[in-house]
Amino acid sequence: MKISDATILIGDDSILARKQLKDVVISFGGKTIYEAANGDDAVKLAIEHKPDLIFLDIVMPVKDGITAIKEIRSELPDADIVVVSSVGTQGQLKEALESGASDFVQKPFNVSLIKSIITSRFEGR
Amino acid sequence: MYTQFFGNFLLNNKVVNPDQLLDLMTAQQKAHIKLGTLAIHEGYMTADEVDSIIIMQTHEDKMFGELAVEMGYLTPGQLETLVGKQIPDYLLLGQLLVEKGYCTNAEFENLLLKYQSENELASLEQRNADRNNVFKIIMNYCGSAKDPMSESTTGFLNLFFNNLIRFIGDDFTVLSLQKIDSVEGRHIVSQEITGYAHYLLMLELEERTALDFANRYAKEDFSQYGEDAEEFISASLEDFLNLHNGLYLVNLGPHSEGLSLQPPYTKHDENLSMGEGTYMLPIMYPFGTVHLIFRAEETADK
Repeated sequence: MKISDATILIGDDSILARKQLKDVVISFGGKTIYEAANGDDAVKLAIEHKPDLIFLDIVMPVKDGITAIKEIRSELPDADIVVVSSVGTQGQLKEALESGASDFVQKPFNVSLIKSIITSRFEGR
Repeated sequence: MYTQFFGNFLLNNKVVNPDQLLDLMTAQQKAHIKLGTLAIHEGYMTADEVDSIIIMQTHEDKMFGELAVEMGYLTPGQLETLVGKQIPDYLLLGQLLVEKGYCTNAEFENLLLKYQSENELASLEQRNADRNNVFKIIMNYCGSAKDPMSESTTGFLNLFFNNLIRFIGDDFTVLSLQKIDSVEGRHIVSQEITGYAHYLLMLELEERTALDFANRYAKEDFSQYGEDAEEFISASLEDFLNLHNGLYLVNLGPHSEGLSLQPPYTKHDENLSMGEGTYMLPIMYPFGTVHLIFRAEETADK
């Protein structure tokens, strides 16, 4: 699948973090991007749009990222979820992966790491 | 990393008052020279190599020169040459002190000698060691060393100042540490770590200062964002606290089990009463003063 045909969801309570990640996705050709400012909205948008890739923060209001991963996974067993968080303790990393995250990116994120996540999943424009 | 100490030295010796120091620091911003710029100028590194080190610095708590040597972009000899060429920040501040008429060249020469002998200006190796003790050094220079703090609180604040230097800049002067029981807040951003210990970390600043702080952190100019500016400013400050607290928990390793990071929040124009053991430390940047407010409550059982 081409990145320009993919649907991508970004769940982060920080408008700055969402913008920075969105800018990177767009720079690699991403076009259909949904944004959620809390875990609850992320779950709803994921179920509604069935994104091809989901970026999720862990610490979020209303519903945290780990709970959101579990709920998304129960509805969409094949969902591809990448956790992007400043909290990268071993316990949380383990919990995120056990809950169904496929990757973990430490904030502040490195653009080349996001690029490798995108290019390993999608073709270019 | 020496501006803040020379600034405190000037304040302690009553050469300037805080307003005059702020004026000097603002002027000094335009005269700042970075190691990366010098490395490009000398032909030791390409701009791409410099950029890659700057990106690495956002992930590793290391100095520019140290990473450049590790990556093989600079030899240790070249680094020494560059460090030798780098104009110390305090020298720029001193130069401005004379230019603005706060002292004569002769007085400046004496001040410099006194500062150097009091502080035995450090070698590169010493500077690296200083990074692990940056908070202790700052406390010594601002005359607040008599307030003993636990090792974990000192570690928490040491990381905070390293993050402040990395993400906002080292052109600050720290004033005296105070115990407070209330905060008259203009722009307040706060985050707590809860669990077997409780940390409160808060920044209080004027709205204009919040904008400049956010611009530096996000490397954007939010004044161009119109109606959305306020939301981006708050998000940037919250991100900075979240980043610091997140890194603190990562660094705790297994001890981070049993601690939770709460979402950060922002408040405007509120008077808050603070619990017992809350401290406030004013950090003066050229763009304004950032009040660091913190409280650490620790329990014996982990």
